[in-house]
Amino acid sequence: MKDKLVVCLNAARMIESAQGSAQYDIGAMIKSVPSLTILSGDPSLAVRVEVDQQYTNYLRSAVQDFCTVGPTVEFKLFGKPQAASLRRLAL
Amino acid sequence: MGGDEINFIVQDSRGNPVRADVLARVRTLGGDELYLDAVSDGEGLATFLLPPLSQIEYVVAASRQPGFWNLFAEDVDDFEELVLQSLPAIDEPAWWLECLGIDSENPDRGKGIKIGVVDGDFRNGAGLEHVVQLMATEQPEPPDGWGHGEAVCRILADRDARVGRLLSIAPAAQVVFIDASNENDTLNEDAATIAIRRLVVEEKVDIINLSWGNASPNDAIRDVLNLAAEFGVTVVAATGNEGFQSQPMYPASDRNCIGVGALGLDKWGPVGTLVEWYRKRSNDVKRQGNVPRIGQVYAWCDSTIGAGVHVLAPGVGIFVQRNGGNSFELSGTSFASPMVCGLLAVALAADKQYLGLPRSRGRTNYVRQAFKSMCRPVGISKRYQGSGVPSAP
Repeated sequence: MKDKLVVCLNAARMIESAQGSAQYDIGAMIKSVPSLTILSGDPSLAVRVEVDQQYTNYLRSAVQDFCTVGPTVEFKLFGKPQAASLRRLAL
Repeated sequence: MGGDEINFIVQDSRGNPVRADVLARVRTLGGDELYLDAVSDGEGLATFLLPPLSQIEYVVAASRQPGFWNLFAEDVDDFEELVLQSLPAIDEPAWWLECLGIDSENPDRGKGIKIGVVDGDFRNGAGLEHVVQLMATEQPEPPDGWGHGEAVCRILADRDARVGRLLSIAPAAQVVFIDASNENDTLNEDAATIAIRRLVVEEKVDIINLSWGNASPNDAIRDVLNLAAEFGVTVVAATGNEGFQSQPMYPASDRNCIGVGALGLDKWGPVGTLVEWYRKRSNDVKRQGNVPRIGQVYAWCDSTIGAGVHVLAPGVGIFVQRNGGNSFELSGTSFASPMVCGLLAVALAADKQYLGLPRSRGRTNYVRQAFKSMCRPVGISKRYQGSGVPSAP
């Protein structure tokens, strides 16, 4: 089974990076994780990856103190006429 | 076993066909609810195949062509024609400008303030030529209807000579648009995080508008919103259209965001329109209030409630005009959020103390305090309205 995850610099590292006091390469940090594929993103800030579930903890430890690792999420736009919204009309 | 075919003709008051999304709620013989949708064709024909002996309870038609109110119709058993009513001509400042205390006679409102927008589906055109578009995704061909990101930008800063004055909040503000949408018309958090950082660090915007979200908090977005606050950037976000049963979505509920719910005007929207139906559905004393300049208002029935709704702003029956022509009529917290974002641009452009502050957490805190002083309760329950409705100082 594969996990799709987002690896992103944590708050402190993000600020350091934005201030120019440090630069990070998430790609280099996770290069050694077996089975891992980078799907999208910018290695200097956040990447979406796919990895075998058995190596998820390995991934977390590889970026510990530098990055957050979480499940991928999709955000929806709040304006398109949505069937779910229209369905509530008759409640 | 075959079903019953029901045909609707979607047309304007003169009998011309109109292309529209049509949604029908159907009650089956067994009492189940079904939701069917169709798109009317070039002849205005929308066809539904119903299960045997079922009944249509109501129909909603949302035009893909500008110039019409969205329609709501009940008791449509014998109904074959869905007549969309024309929107009124725009010859005076819109109620949302009045509601927010915007001086429509000032063409320079928002000048000098840079707004970032992270969204999807931006289509440039007259009035939006000034918008800087980054990380654009390919649009294979212009689809009909309206674009979500386009609508947000037009509410913020449409510079069409007439529309800018009468409909748009901060036409002189600079806008930088980043398309972070994917093929599903949603946003991935890695793309959204990268876009927000770019707006903060490289583009050095002053305010960011986010008209999207998800029920669950997200680490990456939380951390980049913290970055924005540290760099003096104020973020405004829509609380979501999940209705009064739901909590505000994330990131609107983040401590570094101003979460905006949607407000409707009682006297807005003729009989037979979706806006009228929204008004009826919002008919609860806790949701009713009054804004002195415009009269009775209501918290929109599809706006989420609770902690995270910081304010309400106009978001029901909003006109978004394209290329100086007819308008689309839109509802959603997506459109309430740029109202507040634009209002902040107008206020901050005239705030000398703000303009002199360094880009730091102190500037973000200053804006939050200044914004709080712009908000007034309007008589709606606090869970629905937060601090109330903002108005330009």
